[in-house]
Amino acid sequence: MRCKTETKDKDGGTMKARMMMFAAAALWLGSTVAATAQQAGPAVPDQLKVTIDTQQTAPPVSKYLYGQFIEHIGGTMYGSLWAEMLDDRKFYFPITAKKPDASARPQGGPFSMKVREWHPFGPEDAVVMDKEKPFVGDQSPRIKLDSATPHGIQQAGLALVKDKKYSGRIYLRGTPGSKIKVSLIWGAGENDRQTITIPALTSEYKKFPLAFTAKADASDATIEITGTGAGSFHIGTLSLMPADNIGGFRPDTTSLLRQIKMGFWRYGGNYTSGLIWYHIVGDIDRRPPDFDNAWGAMQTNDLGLDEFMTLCKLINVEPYISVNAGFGDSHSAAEEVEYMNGSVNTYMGARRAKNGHPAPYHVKFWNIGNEPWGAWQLGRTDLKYFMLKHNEFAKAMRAVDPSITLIASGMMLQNDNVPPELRSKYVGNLQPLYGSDHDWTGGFLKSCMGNFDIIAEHWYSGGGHHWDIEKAKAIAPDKSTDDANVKIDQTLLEFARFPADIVRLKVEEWQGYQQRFPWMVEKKIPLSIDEYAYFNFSGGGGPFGGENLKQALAYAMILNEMARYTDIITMGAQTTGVSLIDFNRTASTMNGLGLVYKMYGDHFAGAIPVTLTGNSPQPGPRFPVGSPDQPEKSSGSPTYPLDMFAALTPDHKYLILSVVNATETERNVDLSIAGAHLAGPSTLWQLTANKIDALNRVGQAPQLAIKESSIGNAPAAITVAPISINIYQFPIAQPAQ
Amino acid sequence: MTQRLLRNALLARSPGALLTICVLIGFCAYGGKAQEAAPGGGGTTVTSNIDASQMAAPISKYLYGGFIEHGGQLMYRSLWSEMIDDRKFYFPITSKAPEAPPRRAGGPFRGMQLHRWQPVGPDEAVVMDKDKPFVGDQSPRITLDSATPHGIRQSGMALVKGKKYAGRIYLRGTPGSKVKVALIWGAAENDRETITIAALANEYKKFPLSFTAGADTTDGALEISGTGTGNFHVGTLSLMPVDNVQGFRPDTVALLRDLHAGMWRLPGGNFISDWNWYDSIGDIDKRPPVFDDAWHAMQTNDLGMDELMTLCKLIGVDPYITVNAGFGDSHSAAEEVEYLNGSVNTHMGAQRAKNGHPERYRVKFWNIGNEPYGSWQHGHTDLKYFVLKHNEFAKAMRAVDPSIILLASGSMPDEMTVEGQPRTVGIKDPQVHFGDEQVDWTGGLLAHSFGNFDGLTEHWYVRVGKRFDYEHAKSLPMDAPIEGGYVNADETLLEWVRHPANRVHKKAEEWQEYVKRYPAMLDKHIFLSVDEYGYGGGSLKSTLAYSMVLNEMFRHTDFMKMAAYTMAVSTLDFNSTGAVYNSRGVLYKLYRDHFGTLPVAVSGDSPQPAPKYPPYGDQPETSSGSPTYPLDMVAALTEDRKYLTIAVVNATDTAQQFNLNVTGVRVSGPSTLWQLTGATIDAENHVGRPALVSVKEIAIGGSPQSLSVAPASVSIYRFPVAGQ
Repeated sequence: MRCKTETKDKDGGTMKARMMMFAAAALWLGSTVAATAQQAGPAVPDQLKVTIDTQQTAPPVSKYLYGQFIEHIGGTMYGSLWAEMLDDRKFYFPITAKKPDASARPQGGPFSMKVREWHPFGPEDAVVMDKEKPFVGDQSPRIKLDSATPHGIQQAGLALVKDKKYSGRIYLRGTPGSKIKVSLIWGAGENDRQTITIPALTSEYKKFPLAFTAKADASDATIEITGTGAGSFHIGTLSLMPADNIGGFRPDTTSLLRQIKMGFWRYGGNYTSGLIWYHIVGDIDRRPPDFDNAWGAMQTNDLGLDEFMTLCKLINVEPYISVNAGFGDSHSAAEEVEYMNGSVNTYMGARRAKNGHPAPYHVKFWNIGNEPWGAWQLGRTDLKYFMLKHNEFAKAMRAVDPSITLIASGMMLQNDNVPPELRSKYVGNLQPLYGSDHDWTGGFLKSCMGNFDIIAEHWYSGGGHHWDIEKAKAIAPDKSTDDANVKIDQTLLEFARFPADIVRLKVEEWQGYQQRFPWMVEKKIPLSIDEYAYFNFSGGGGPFGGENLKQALAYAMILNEMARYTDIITMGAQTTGVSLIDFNRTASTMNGLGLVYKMYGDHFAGAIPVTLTGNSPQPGPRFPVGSPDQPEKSSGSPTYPLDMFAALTPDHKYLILSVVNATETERNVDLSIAGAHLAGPSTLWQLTANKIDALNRVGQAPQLAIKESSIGNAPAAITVAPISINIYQFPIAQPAQ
Repeated sequence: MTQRLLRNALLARSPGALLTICVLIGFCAYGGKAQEAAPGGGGTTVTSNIDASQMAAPISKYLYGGFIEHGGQLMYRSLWSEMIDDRKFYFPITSKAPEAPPRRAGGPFRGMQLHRWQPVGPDEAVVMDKDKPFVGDQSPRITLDSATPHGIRQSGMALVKGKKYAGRIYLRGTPGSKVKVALIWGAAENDRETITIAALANEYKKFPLSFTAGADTTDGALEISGTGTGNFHVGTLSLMPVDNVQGFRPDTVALLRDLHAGMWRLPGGNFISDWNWYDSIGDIDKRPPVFDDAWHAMQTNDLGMDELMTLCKLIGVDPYITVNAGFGDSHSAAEEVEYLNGSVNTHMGAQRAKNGHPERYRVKFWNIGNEPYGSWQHGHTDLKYFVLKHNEFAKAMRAVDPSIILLASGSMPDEMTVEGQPRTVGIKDPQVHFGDEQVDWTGGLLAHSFGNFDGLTEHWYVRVGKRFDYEHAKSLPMDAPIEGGYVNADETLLEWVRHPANRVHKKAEEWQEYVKRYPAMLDKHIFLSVDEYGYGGGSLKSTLAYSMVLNEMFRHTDFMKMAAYTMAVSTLDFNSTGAVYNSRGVLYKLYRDHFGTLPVAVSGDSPQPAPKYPPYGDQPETSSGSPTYPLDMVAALTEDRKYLTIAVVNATDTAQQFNLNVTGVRVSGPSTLWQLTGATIDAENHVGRPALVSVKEIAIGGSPQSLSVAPASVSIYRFPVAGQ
């Protein structure tokens, strides 16, 4: 994940996410530099005519094109995927009755993922964070007992569902004779609770099971651990999950995600650059909690490497792991490969077996570092050093497992990511960036040949903004490069087209490398766009804003555009995997974005692209080239204002056609098919709604759904509904020869 | 060591820089010209008052420490006995002269180019086989001929007549091959000793080597050749004089031992930041050779962690280890601590035991990263990230061994300024200011890593004949070379000698500023380790300068607890077969042998002149030295308080008189003067030649009140303390 550094907080090394900048811009940017909106689009022919030639094919659409990216951004994964109900269950933070003061470093990271706190029950001074022989991490709470008044700790804010069973465990030690109780409390009444009496404590930690059944729904239930007696007791750690969890994961969200054919999940972003992976394996209760300085958040390390593998199995994706090349080194990366892929006869493979997983995972995709080119990256270093580092990592990792596929963390020509003093050199003209100290992809191609199989690229963009060249030229050296973002008025179609143009720009840049390094073509070095997002921030529905129909239209165009370059782009990973669902603590639903990926994953993964021509070219880019969001030539198909993409199913039995209509008008298209004869019952899967901001929210009636309809024989003309994403499937009567 | 030296040496643009580097490692001659003594320096008599009742913190033995790294072949040439270069066949074997290599072998260290292997017989008979190499990535395979010997040969070895050499060679080959190994000391047919190898097999087998040289030579050769029908592979081989001490040279090790250097910081240095320490342990023949991109040199990894510990034991110093915090991480650093200090019940301690060293080494001093503040450092990152990294390292290392003493790699404004670091982060003002979040590196560590170190380190290198000029630096474009702020300095002999001591003094001034900002430094007894420093020359002249450096450090014993000169073998002049102390070695030995350890106050009536330049960069606010101008004096009682010792540097070309008033103790009885001086100001000591710089012991009757100090000399006087 990419973000920009803000130096306002000295202690936490606080960074501000690039995506948050976009949000801020969307809400508050009053720039008058805004370009004039072009409300009237270019002329559209009276009748759109499209020809599909099934004889002209391209390499199949990779099953990895619909992949997703995930990382521990604060509690992102815990809040959506993991079933643990208790926060700070390893007592990283002190327990106090006071509210933390505002200047304290954030505990849960960005996106308002606050960590619920433990508070003393009874007098505050009865609870001391004992640093002597802690159960896990640096401290364990010691509670001084009183013979009459219960002393202990409590955490409120738990969500419960009536009649649901909850189970867990607690590690306790204490003065023999202490009387300790654990209660789950769902109301104010005396009987609105279930209390477990713990058997005799000893001076050594002992594990005690917890099991409760909620007798009411609650969104602010409390767990309370209290005792009476003469001495004191310590709480090592505790855990509570709904009893229906699957290996620690939520059944609802994982089963929703499993319905989407995503191919792979990439694990690792900024968080990775400070991650000590050794801390996320082994006994889950003994893994130390760590503070992640990338996102300013505490991590319990519960959802570690073995758990990620369980998740991948649950949601039916292949794992793709980024190793820490920020603060981490090649030896640790090689040991991580050995932990995942080594036989039980290797040192690390034996540890994996000891942790309950004797079979090697055979993780294929490995990425060296996350965004090492970003000033925001923990441990970032200069290109010249990172190239050496990459080579060292590659050698060490491949020595452990020569079969792995290595992805280099590239960055193509980003003139919004060069030192301020060099901006003027590159703004408005990307070409001089090739081969410069800020051309990371070029650096890998020049200095690391043979040490990678794929090169990665990331991009983020937000609707309603454009990085303006003229403004960029005028930015003071001490000002952020994001100051060149100007608010622009966009038609719906322009909004939807915008991110696909960035994909197009990436392809143009890649082709520039292919000219400079012809061996890339011979060796078929592909591009993995393994982080990307188009932020909307219309509010509601997930950490990055509402994944409404408007957003879905834009993403459908992104997916179509990536599929137009199957010779180049073989992997894609959207930020983040859990952006495909809307969820709260007890329930979830697939949102508009999830529905788009479901449609495409179901029909286009493995499909064979065929040539599609039309009589209505896309208008040229709205702004001059030389900005990181403007290609030389527009993305899309020559079917303006529609975006269309056609392919054959892998078995050549069907022609499938995607049509995105990002206008408020119904459109008619004449279809003519060359190279195949279409006949037989056809099907249309359609995602639309009667309003552009329709979205799916958990707990509310869905406003978006994929509608499947039979449309009889393949028609010679189709009518495309306004604001809709459509996938047609036409049977091929006589398969192409 | 800083990149500037490397870069200049590599480009050979600046003879001065090359000279600097040479003398830092103790090699070549210094050709500098002595300058006239400062006007007003001679003739008048200075009065020096020594008050033995005013005592400062003791002089730590660690202030006499040395720094050494695997800079190219430096440690191998000076300390290690191996005679074969590239013994693990990192480089291809060819008769062709190498084209101007993109990565040069040997690095900038002059006279240390690697001897290359050459084919014996046709070039194409020798192929670097990458299939199942014995060690590293390749092993040479030699295709045999039934009549003509094919093989490989390395020349350039120094041999001593009658000396015995022993070693081993790993070979495999077609059974029936006839392979011979010959040591050759001349062109005649009999100028060689040949060993016939017993039958080869398909698996590598170790064969012993043993030779006696028949003549002296500096260009001996070793040849491995065979005849037969198939081929043979050479895995690796080794040859050392049999009088080696656990792999080390007895001559250099004995000299170094007598310096009582206290500690050695090792094995890096810039080298450390791309070095994988795991590669340097275990079977010495199986450790992979690696390429060090910091010094552009191949490293065989023969002199690894266990060998370094042996070395420290042999020369009687405490090891001080810098861990890799460039490309390396906290886990690897913690495992390094565990390898050296962990019990045999730990994972790494068990590996150490398996490698033949069950006893833990209990290494006390550990440094996190080398010069992380410098843009030349591999893996260089921003201060805001490095402090987090430091904290992670400290936590991990202390978790393994809470008893270690941790040193954080600091850099105060003088070093950051003269090394041009502000421009590397886009700051135009060349002067680094205290509290700057980007470039006040030591300040950053104090602000964000306090509690995670016991001491702070500092490095300095004073450029010979140069000085930092603020106005000049201000005028530089942003992309000018980082060291562009230097201009030529016009210095008298005395100023030239005084220059590096002023740098020490600058460090002390800056330290006081930090103490003001972070008073907790005093409560926690945070100390300073100047664990890399260097100035030019191996001559008497530079020895005078080093003497003033020592004296200045002794004036700040309350916080200066460790120091290490670059390089630790720069006290020696050596070739392949012999070694002597150079003038710097003579100096350090003089101080260690005779100077006391309990500093007492020195005052006088002749203050040092104020600095000539404003206090930017490395210029101090006030001058270093004692108020005994032109002399530089420090005084200390010996540990048993039986003697008062006084060190006096006369860096003028005339004799200087001083009156001595001692209070606090009464001195009487026969006194001694040890006087270091040389034939000329440029005098140097070289192996195989008479010593031109030496120490004379001179008996002095009684305790005279007026003393005359010889020109261009360092004198240590020892006066018995009455009543002791």
